[in-house]
Amino acid sequence: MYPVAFDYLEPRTLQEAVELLEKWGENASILAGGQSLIPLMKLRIARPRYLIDLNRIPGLSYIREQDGCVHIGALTRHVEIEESSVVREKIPIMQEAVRVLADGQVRNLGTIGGAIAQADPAGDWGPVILALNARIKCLGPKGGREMEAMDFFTFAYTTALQPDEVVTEIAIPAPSAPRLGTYVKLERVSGDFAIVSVAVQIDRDKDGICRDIGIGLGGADDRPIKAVPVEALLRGQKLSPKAIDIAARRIEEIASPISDLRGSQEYKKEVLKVIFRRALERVIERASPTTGGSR
Amino acid sequence: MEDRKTVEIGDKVRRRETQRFITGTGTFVDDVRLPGSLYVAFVRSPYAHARIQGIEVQPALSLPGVRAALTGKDLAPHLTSVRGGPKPGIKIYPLAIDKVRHVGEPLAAVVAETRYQAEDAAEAVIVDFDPLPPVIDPEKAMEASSPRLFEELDGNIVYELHFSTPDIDKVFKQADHVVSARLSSHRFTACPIEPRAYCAQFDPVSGFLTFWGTTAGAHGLRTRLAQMLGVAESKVRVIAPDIGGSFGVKNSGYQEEVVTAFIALKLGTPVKWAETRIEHLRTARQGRDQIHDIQAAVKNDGTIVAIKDKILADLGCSYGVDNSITSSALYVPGVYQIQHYQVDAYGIATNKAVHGSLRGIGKADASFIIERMVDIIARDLSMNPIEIRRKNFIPPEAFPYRNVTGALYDSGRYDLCLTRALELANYEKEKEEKKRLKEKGVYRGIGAVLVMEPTSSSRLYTTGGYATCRVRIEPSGTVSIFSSMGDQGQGHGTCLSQIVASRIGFPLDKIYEIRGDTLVTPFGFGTGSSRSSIVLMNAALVAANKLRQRLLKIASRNLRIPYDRLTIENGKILDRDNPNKSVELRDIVRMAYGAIYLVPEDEEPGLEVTGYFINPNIDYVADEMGRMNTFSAYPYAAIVAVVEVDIETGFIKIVKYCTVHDCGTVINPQIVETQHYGSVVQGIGGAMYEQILYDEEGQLLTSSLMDYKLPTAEEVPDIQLGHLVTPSPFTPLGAKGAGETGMLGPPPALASAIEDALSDFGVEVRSTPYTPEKILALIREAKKRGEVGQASGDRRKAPQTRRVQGA
Repeated sequence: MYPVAFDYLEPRTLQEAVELLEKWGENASILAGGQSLIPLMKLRIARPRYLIDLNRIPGLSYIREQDGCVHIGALTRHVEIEESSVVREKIPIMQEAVRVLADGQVRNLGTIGGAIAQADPAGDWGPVILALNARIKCLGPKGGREMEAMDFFTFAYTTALQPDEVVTEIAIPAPSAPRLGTYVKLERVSGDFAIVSVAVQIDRDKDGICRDIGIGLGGADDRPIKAVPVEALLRGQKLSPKAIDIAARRIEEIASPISDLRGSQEYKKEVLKVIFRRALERVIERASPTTGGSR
Repeated sequence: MEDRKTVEIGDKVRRRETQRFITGTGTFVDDVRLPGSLYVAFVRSPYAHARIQGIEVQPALSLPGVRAALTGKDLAPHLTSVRGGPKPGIKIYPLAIDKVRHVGEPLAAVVAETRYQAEDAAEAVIVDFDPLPPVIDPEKAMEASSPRLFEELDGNIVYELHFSTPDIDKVFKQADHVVSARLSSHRFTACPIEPRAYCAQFDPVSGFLTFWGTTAGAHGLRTRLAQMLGVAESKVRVIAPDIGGSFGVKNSGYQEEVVTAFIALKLGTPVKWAETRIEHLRTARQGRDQIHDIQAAVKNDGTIVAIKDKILADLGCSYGVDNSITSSALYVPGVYQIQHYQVDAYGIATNKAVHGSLRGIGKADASFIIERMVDIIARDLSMNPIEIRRKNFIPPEAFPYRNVTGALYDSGRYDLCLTRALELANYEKEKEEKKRLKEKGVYRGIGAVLVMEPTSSSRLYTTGGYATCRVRIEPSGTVSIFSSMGDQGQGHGTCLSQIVASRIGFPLDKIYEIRGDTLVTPFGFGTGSSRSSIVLMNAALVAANKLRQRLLKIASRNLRIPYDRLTIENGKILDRDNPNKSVELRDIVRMAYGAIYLVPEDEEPGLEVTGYFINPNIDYVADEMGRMNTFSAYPYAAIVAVVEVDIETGFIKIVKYCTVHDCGTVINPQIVETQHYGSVVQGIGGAMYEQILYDEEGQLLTSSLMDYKLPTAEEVPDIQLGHLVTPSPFTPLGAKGAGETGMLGPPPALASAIEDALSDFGVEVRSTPYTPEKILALIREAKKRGEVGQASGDRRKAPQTRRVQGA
């Protein structure tokens, strides 16, 4: 649990950070909250020659609402999302998810930008931002650019970021029916990465027809995935038990989980279907006028 | 002396160690900072099984800060003795020389000025390995064609135990039913919060070697170091400061101990090695991991007449064979009046870490196996599992009870204990609740078991025997208790002080415990097998009684009152018949040291006494039939567990965990209760979450806490604990040990509850752990069996391997 030697760099501006990244490229790692990177370095699995610490750069931690979007700075700690009134009001699914994200200590230091860039296939933010159609903003030597969350995750622990780019913000369109979202996670013990997880956010008209739906899956593939075919299947449909059942079977088909100590591929596929169905049932329950629609 | 009520045995005295630990002010080995200390790191095998062709240390030596590098070949000539392997003639070197037999086995050490440099240096050492085919599956390991771990042996069986009562086959032939099953436990480890750490300092002028170590047995370690390094035992001091838990894994000898000590001797500089969690998961002792093929001969009325068992115990690379097999083999009959028994047990060497002590070693397997088996018998005979237990329990009037393997059970009220647990759990109401929930589609189940834990083992030339306490009332009026046994977090100091205070009337805050330092404490064996309550606490009682007698005798002479009329109260020794006639305790202390002419001639001067206590009822050698008793006490616990199973995901929620335990006399209720809670939690971890997993190549898959899952507070249910007190008749205190019964409960209790919850499907739980994926697979299998059964017109829901005769 002792890392190899590295140089510690402390840029004071994002521009400076990008310059350092451009200079050291793949020999450098960015330190945000450090909740994945530091353990990996201590295990000597990660062996960066240069560690670029973003924590001295002001203005990277914020949660604000603007133009129908909630903008979250890359260095925003999980705990700040947990405690944010904007998130509670506009995107409560994020609060539901953050409460099962690791443990209190990790949430105090870990950041959303760092977690997304780490791109663990079983991480909690991946499915959530995929379900919400978030955009990831990043900065590189050629300037800033934006990516759809869907295009961001490319493989296990791998993203569409260039080696000289850094995530700066996650912009999340505020869902039109904030309450109609939920995050369901199966974990071996509390605070573990997901065996599988499902994030669902829906919108429906007064007749119960699904106007829109976002579905993100964790632990379902070599990366967090957006269940686009299932979203298409359910859009414009009434979310009847039969429709849910068909969709759940489709979820099982599109999933291609990795077998690991958290579960075999077969097990993960099977329970993914189960929790997907439960997630939908839960949001429908929330939407139902008989339950008063309160959480 | 102050007018204060002194404590009694059984009082809820606040655990004095707690504050130090929860405020982070304990002193652990890694907190020992010696000036100029160097740091050691070990080069370890990445292979499960390989021949070492060559080791090149030069690249490490050329790195900054590196002071030395040491291979097994460098070290060997300096060792005056080497540990014996599983059979005579096999030598196990502290740093592997020719061959490595598990991932993580140390083969070289490097020494550097900082721990970071040491790690870099360990990485730089180049080792040329010739990989050999690994031996992983214990059953395949027994085949003649299997590769061998030890070329000196003709196979991988390193230990055998065979025991049989006469005419067992005849008994089976005459039985109404024969029920058989294959049951198994999986490998896991203790994972104490503090991994191992060693620190050594050699003073060339005095020739004194001081060694700080995370050990449960400082004296044993001192002997080992002295023998291996050829140093006089008198010149070796081992200190075991605060220990952050052991649960058995710090009981054994480890290679790193002698290597660290040797480096300090050779370099004349203090050195330290502190284990990382990865090293710990790779090399610390691991436990359980047995396969039992068991058969029971049963009468129509449910009487269990005989048991036949065959045990395969995976001992890992078995550098030294532990006592797990004898403990499980001789205790499978458990708490039942089984008169006929046969066991054939085999200890098998495989390319895994060394098997060894883990809270409840061997005995946990025995109780799991027999409790599972009783449930299986009940099911096969369509009997109530609780009634079949009651029918077969050893009755209270039969104690002390000599069981079929020679074990002498001290005392027990099993039936009452189970009844109390059922009451505590509100069993009848739970059954109603289960039915009610079933209608809502909730699968709830209730399991009731009784586990028994032999404690305070003593074995020829290895462990146990006795414990010693030296107690001294100091001239200023404080009391020092020098304990022969270390502490690893149990709170010995609190209990020892309580016992001594109760006898000599000194207030608790004047009493101090000194332990874990071989220079000042009497010789003794390490803590483990819950033996401190039996031998150590009684040793303190013996010493305290001697001191009390001396105090009273001195007072008797000076008050001119017969000794037997005197008592100690409120800091005074006084005449029971005339309480006005008294003398202050502090004056007696002054006399004992300063005016020894006032001490009676037949009493020794001063106020220092030694008390020892020998484990009662131990047979060090077996009789002609192989019967023997190696434990002194037999505490037990009944458990009623209620679980809910999510039949779509396989997840298990423990709704209720009620247990009534009987550890005999309770010395300190707070310590007993907290021990029990911790023990149950560790048992839940072992039953459901914790697993040491190796792949086919012998690579450890669970080498960090990301993969080795420990239960968290979220997973742990509210544990309801009840006490039943049946003192041991063989010790003055009557305490039986409270550390392990808690851990034995969850594996059989949860299995029972899970099967009950899933009885519609006929699910059979035959092995630990109860992971969601396994439970789901069991449901699927059972459903399939059910369909097959229905198609073929079989009324039994779950036809499978075991056969049922008669009926």
